[in-house]
Amino acid sequence: MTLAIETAGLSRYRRGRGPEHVLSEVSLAVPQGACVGLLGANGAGKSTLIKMLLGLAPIGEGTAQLFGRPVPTMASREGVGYLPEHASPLPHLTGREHLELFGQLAGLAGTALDAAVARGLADAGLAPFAGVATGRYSKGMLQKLELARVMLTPSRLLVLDEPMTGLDATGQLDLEERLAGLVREGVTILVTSHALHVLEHLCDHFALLRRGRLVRSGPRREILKSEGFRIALAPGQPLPAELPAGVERSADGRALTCADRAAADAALARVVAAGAAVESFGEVIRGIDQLLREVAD
Amino acid sequence: MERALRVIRILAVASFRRGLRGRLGLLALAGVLGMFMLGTVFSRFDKNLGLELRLVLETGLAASALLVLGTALLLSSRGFGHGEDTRFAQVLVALPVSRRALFLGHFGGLVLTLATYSAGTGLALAATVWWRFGIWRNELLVHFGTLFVEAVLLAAVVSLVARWGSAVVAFFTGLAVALIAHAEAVVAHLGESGTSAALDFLIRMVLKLLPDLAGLDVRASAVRGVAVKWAALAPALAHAALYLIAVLWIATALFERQEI
Repeated sequence: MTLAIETAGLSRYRRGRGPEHVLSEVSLAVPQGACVGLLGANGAGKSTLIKMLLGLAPIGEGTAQLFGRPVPTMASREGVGYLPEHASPLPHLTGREHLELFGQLAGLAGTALDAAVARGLADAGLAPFAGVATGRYSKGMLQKLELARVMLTPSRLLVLDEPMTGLDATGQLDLEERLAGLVREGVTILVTSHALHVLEHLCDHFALLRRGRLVRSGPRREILKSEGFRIALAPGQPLPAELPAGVERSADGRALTCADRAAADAALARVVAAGAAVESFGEVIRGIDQLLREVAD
Repeated sequence: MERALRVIRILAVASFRRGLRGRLGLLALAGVLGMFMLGTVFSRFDKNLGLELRLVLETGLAASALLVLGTALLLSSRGFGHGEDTRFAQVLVALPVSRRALFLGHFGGLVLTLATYSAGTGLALAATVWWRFGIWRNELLVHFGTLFVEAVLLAAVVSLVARWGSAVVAFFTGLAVALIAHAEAVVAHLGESGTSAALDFLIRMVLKLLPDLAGLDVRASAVRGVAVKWAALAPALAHAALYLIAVLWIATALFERQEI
């Protein structure tokens, strides 16, 4: 199957600063239907990569394709929805006019346009403010309006730059659910966010940029590797005299850790046999925050 | 082509709405109406009908020109894809539409705004003169037509400059262009008054690069009621059309290659 996003040796130099790269030989492959978390510190090159993929910034070296179509052609942007960070609709247009504008640009007209706009406003909870100029919207309302704009017509690729910005906790949960639903429907999503917990729940692929270089990318199971197994015990519990090979006890005696599943199961059986109360037992997966720290180091 | 025209139409309407709803436009409109009233009030102190009429026309035409050309400078100097428009332009450019169509759509909205201001102030002044003096001046309508063409030319030049510079640079460059282009006859006269060959060449280059706004100026005819000579106006309009096409072509070509 054709990849949703494919880049080969994508590079770009900083203007007027000699050989310093903004992006250096980024080769990325994103399968269709994947939800990719694009991670990296400020200035890592995330926005530049997104801009190059969408034809907003010229490509220095290398190639990029969206669904097999070369970037930056108009055809490559067919069915692509884009939400930039800090969205700003024209302040003199009302919320309804803003959605109508983009609906019309997408080819909607008449009752289909009216229905799509009404649905978008209702889903975003902005129906009561449809006739208010967007210049009077709060930050959260603007973000909801922009998300409604992105989802006004079906897309096969959504590029979302900080979609959670300005949303309250309920709004974030709603968006997370909607995005998860879109992924289930087969929509490919490329998302950047500082809300790491959301990315951890939502994304099945990750790509990590550091100083313009792609340092890691791939499916979640490869990126967020297992760090072994952990048995957590209630305070003051008796431990078995002998533990299976490879099982280590923490300094306070409240946790047992080991690398493989068989040893973990054996240790758990002995702990239970010794009459100790187990608080939790499970695989320890390295979180994104930990991964980001490692990459930064 | 059909898609591009649709995009131009849709964006022109959005940009037009914005132009009309801006506070600046409303303030300017209020200013012009104030000047109309001032001219009418002053004219009451003069019992000579000819001078009264001239006073109303002079203040009205000056105020209208300030409004229309000022609006052209202010709106076009912001530059599509710059400043507060950046994010909005990014979203548009990420759509599967040509950048050329986006630029022309935005410019189309500007043209519609200028047409509305020109027609609105023109009709307001003509109606004031009709109400006050019972005279209908066709020259007034020709004046507002040429004022509109001047404003569009100026907006195109400033939009081109705004591709590179900030809004402030584009605004003042536009202002300089408007002043020099209105005084082209004076500049041309400099070249004929025994200057050096280098200065003469420079002056001729400036004349070629600037739009000929002086050729479109029929204000004197509008005030004095002299019939406008089409033989003089037609070449100026043809020059304006060609100049506009050339400037827009360069501006859109630049926009197509620009990082947004």
